[in-house]
Amino acid sequence: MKKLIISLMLALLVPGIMAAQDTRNRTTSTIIADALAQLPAANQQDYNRIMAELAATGQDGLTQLTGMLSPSDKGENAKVEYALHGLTGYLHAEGQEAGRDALRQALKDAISNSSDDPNRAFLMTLLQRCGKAEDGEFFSKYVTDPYLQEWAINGLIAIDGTEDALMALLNAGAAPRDVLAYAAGKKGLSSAEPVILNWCAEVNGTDLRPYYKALGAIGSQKSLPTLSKAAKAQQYEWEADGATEAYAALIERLAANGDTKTALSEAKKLMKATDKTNVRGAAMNVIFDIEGKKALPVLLKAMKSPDRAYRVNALRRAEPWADEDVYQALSKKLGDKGDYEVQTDIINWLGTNHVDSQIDRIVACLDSPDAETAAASFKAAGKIGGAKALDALCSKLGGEKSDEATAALLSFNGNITPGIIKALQGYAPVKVAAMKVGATRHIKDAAPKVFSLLASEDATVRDAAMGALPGVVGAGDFDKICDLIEANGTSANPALGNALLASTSGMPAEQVFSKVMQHMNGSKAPQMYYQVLAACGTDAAIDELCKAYASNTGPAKEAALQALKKVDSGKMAEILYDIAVTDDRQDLLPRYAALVAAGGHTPEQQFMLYRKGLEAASDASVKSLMIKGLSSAGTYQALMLADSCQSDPAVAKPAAEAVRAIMTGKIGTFSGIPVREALERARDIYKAGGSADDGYAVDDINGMLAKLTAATVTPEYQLTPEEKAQGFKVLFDGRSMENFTGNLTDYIPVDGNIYVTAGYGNGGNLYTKDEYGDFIFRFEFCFEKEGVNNGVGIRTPMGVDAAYEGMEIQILDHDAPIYKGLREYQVHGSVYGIIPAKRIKHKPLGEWSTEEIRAVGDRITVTVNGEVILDGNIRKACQGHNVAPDGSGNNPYTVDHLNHPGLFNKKGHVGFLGHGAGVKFRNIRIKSL
Amino acid sequence: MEKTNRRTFLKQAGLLSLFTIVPSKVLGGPRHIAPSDQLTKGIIGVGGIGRSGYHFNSNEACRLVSVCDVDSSHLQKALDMGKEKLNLKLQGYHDYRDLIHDSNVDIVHIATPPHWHGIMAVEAANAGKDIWCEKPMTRTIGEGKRVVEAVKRNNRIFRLNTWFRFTDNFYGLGTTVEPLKKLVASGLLGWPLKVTISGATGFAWKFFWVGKDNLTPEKIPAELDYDFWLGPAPYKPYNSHRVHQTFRGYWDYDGGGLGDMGQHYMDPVQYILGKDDTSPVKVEVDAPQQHSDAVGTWRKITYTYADGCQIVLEGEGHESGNKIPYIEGPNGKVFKGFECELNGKPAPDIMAIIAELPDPEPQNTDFINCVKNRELFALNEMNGHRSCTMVNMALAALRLNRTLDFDPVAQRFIGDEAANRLIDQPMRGSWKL
Repeated sequence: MKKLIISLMLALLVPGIMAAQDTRNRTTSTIIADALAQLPAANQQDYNRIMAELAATGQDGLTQLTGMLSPSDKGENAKVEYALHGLTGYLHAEGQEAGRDALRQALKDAISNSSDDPNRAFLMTLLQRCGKAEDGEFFSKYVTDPYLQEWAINGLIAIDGTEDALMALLNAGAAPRDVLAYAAGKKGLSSAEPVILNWCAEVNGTDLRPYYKALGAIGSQKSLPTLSKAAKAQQYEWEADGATEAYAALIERLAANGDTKTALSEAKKLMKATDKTNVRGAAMNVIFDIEGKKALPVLLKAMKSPDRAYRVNALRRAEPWADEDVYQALSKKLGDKGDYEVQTDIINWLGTNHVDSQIDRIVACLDSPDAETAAASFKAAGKIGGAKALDALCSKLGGEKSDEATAALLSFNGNITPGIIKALQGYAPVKVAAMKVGATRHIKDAAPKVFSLLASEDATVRDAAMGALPGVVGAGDFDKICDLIEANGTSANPALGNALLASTSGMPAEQVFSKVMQHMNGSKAPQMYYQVLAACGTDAAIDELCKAYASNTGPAKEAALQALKKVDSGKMAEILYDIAVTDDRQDLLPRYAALVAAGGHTPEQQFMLYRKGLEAASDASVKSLMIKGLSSAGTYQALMLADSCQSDPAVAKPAAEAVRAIMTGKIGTFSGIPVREALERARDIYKAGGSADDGYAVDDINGMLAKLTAATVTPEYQLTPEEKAQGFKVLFDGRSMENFTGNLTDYIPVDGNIYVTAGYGNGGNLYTKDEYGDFIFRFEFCFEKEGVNNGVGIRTPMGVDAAYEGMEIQILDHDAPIYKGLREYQVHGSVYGIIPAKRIKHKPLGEWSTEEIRAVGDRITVTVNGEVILDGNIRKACQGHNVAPDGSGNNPYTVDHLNHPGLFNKKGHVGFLGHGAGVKFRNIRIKSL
Repeated sequence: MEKTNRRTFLKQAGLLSLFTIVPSKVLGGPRHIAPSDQLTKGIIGVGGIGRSGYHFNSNEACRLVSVCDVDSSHLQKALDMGKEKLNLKLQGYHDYRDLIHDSNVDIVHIATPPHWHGIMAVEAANAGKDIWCEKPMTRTIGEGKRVVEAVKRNNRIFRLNTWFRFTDNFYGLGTTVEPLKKLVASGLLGWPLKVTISGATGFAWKFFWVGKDNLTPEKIPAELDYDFWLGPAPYKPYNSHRVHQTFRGYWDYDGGGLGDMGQHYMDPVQYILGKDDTSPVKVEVDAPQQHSDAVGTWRKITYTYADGCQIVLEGEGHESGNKIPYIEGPNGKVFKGFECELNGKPAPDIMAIIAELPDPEPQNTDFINCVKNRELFALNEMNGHRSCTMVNMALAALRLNRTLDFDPVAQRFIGDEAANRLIDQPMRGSWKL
């Protein structure tokens, strides 16, 4: 079995044998065409499969594939590029030798046969990626090609084993010397040194950088004179010819290659020769790397340098070999005498390296007269840690350097509790500072002491204790804090409120609430409890806070409001909104937006809530928050609302962002002209921006617009020749709403239909712009969900109830169970309240029905799907009494016993009278009679 | 181009500025550093980010003196901005080497597309300048190694510019990195840890930052020196989508959203996990096939360290609102907004627990101070190279569409020569590192 598989695999890999056929007996060109159609591969499995199939076509197939590249300037090669680039990676892997060879050959043949430079460059790039040593000669052929030279040289550089090919070019001078020199340097071709040295000597005055760079990278001792001389000539400055850096690189190289003697002496020479910090530093690096601890004198001498960069570099480079001797030698420089800048550097370094053996000397420097040295000592002591450092740092609490000590203690390497507890016994300023640290670190052991210090005679201590209390209290301290609040009444320190809150951490909300209520009822300072109530977040707690807000004035009212803002409950959105609107508190709206976002609402609810928010917002930043929220609602209404905000310069950008966010993933769902226009407006707003996001957003929106076009290629509705001849006029052609007016936000064109949007809630009807008297009105309708209720208003004024101020021809999914008790004059097709229609059985949801409404004088005829379901005279139906003769609201002559004052209107608009979503209309046309 | 030396420059500048410059190089010489020394900087690349507040500022600690761009309209805008916003007469350059060579410049800011970062950083270091470099540090692992070597050789101070490891709310995560670092260091979550960087935790992967295939050649605008803009990148016929705002979508210059934002997101994780001196040993990718030129998208990328810690870049599921933990260990999880679970139970008092732990060791986060005191910046050439290596490892795996093993010491892929050819990618003409 195993053997069989191996031989099969071998067969796959041998070009020629498998060439044309695969298991499905497809020809090579079919396999390639099939593969290209599937590219780019969607995932790794597909990629591996498709690449394997392509690879199995062997030399023939790969040649065919490269031959499929079109002229590069046409911009149509993506598929082939995916295939070839994919193969290059796929075949340059273990076990793909034969395929890789076939690909290399195909690439080389294609490069030779092509005259399209960008295509050739593309193929050369692939060859650079998958080529082998044997391809050196091929690359060499192109080193003088004006377009491909770059790729040829880089191919020689990238591929191992092409050293001989490159050397041959160097020997023959077969390409520009600078190009070859760069290549030799980059490739590390040390055998090129003599050639390049010769070139250096021959070239005068021109740019020597390529040669210096190469010698720095590949040279030996032989290159030293040239480079050291050149560097000196530049006074070791950075210049365009790069001599100094090449010289430094060569010294490093000699050291790395084991010629430490030469490297060391050159480095020492270089160090003496210049005062350029970075060049001396480079030399010092070499010395340190070679000598290690033997270089300690150099390090110590460096400490005498006034050049800080040089000193600090010396310290950093000594790290690999620094030991206790080195630490000791360096810390001898710490103290009252000596350069403080040097001391600072050493202390920083000891701290970074956590050198605990020198802590005594570092601690001594906490009192350094030099501010920087002292600051460095504090930092270092904190990093190093240990008992001595802790004692020393704590002893500085409350003193002149209290802030530095505090910072060091907060990030102290170890447990600071013993030090802080001890410091609480100290003098007043020490206590004050220690309490701050203890509170920040939540040192609970400090609580008893802090409580006792609340009664200190020293005001600063009392204040500090109060400030520290919230940080140190625990669950057992609740009642104690309540007592303190009640003892002080309205003059109680607000920090007690914080402390109270802290003491409830981890307690169940109900328990906290009942504890609070025990104390708050009858409290002298009820507002001290508000924060805790807010943290409870229960309905009862919210009620208490609302009561407090309503019944209080001044600071207590504000305290209640601030507490309400903190409550984490879904209920709060409405409460805060109401306060924001009633009491004009814009500052509550951001919290409102956050609560809406976290509220787990449906998209429709979110839309309503953010719209409300937007209505209440006056500040641009608050508006932006609501607009941002619209994008998470993501409904059509949200899109339209965001679109309308795009015209307000103050919020145009967030509005554009919302439009884009909503439409991401909604292409295919939302379309039509308003959507297109919204996207176009958003794109223009992004275009005006300059960031990467803006640039790509324009791309992104253009992509959406293209898809929108593709998705909405709806044939424009046109009249049949017959209707045309009869004089019908198209009211809706599938795209434009130009013949309509009224509610154009809920009735929108989508995919050739007028679509009643999901969020529609009786927010106005859609009307023809023109009025009609006698007419034939034809349209198609489709129910998308059960229970749809709409209607066609005729001879009606706009903005009134057409069923009474005109006529309504009912549109209703009367088959739905919810309409079980329907009156006969309400069924589909009825002249609502006047003439019942014949009850038909509607088509299944999603299928289209045709309808014609003919109105000629008093005669109304309704035909659905070819069947006349109503043909009657409205005047006869009510015996001429469209309103009650007695002037009352009870009209015995109409079927619904109501007055229909507009029933006999001579003319009026035709309209769609919505009662919710789920219905679509199309192919709407009319003929005036 | 005429070079102004510091002296004449100061004369011109003095007319416009109230600041006093005590120049370090010309007046004082290398052995003299005046305590009140005001450092100076120049910006290379003043398109988008180079004209943003991160770079385009000037103050008493560090004064902006020169700007450089190969697009003359960008350059002019920057010069105008200097006049209008900073009241400074800036020196403008077309060739970045002139800016590096400008003796008035102490610090070189590199704000070009990534394909230039390596070369410019090395040259600035060789010229003895300190460096502030935009992320991603370099677009190949090899270039990153060269930068580390050059900075070390020349004893320079280098800042890689992303800052989340020490400041700022960490994108949409709703917390700074500090408490995360404290929590992880405390061991409360256990070990090894898995960190998931996803839309669900507030990190947008910018999947729309992609290139286009089937580009057709366009006319090069007069204001752009396209050949210089390309520099080390292979020559390809000009198309406006390749340059400026949208260069990020092409392998030759960057690596899409992952290439451009990845270091922002992963560097803090590297810090949190304490992996500043190593690299993952494996990277796995789940992605559609990539084009040879245009960067595409991906679904999931998983890094594994030798100790079993993992970093997962999750490209999908962020719309679902799925609650994905940011950090997950055997004993606990951390979610968005620093919501925590310890031993399977919610830990609402996590901030109180955190408060008891020591703060992380202080980081050097004032770059100007670091330049003056020669201290390592918090995010420097070494840890910056490591976090950028993560980005570049994944880009290599994406381009090859396969799992890659990596040797963190040798900084080479193991057993995959095709991947290793992406470590040092070809550079055009004399632009060789």
